[in-house]
Amino acid sequence: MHENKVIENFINGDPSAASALVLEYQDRIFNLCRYMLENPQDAEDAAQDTFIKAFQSRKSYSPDATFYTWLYRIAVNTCLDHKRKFTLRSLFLSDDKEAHINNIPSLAPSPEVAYATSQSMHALQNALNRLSAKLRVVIILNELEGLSYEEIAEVLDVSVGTVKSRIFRARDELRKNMKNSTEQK
Amino acid sequence: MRCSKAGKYLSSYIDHELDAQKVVLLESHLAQCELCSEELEQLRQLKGLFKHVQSFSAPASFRSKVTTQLENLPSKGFSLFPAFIRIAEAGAFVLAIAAGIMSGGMLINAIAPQHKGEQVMAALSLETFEALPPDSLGRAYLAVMEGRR
Repeated sequence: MHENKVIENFINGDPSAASALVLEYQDRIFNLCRYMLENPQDAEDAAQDTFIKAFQSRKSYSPDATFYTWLYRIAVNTCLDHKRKFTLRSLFLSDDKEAHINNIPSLAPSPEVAYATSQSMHALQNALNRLSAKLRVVIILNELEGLSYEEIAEVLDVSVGTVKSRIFRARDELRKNMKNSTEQK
Repeated sequence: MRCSKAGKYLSSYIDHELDAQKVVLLESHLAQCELCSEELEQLRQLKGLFKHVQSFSAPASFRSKVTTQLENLPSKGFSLFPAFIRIAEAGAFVLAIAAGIMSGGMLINAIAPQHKGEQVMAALSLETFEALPPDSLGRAYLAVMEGRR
């Protein structure tokens, strides 16, 4: 069945269409949440919440935007909500903060990556974790999800110029953080 | 193009997001500027690292968990029947108010229809005005004062 028809059925509340869209987009949404949130369980919860919220707000979807940018927007906002809740919680519960640090996922390079690249990726991982949520999300959407600047602008509801500026700043910070990390060794 | 401007375009350039005119100007600058060329190479290396990053897949049970949650969502479909009931209730309330007003008017007319006009005239007439009604304190005072004279 053509995706447009599936989306149409989804908007009309067809459960099988919803299930089909989950199957189509679950990996992409989960991957995004995994890199936005440091805790694997939080990432899975956020990814599930994304699809639930998408179904509940399906009438708000407009064909002017592509379905996956609309879905990504819900995912990004859900992840930011989870981060805010964690920040509030960690202010009062020190145990949660320690667990958070221990659960930071690695970028998990493929096994065949050379040692030097592996070291660089370790530095990249640390640098990426130190980015603010605002800068991290544009890098993840661009580098890991392969979205264009225009698509990122649509997801974040900002101008293309803002996306360009944030990507420029994110890369600048990544390079500086990686350089500092290398010099400290 | 100066280095300060070229530096800002490098990020968009490696993402193929720079318009054609700026690409020409930037490439012309890069051909002459070793510093900006070096910065471009660093950005390419950084971008290259992301190609080795592993993509995470959703857990095997993810889809079934989501589907179960969707099935347990309370239905919020719009139904005409409850709306009809609400409209009928509102209509019945208005009718009850109107019936009460009308029956109250009819009751008043039924009790004293012939005196109604006389009562109105009596209320408006100055002849019916009594400055000192018989049982009033003022009448008693006058009686006392007249008795003293």
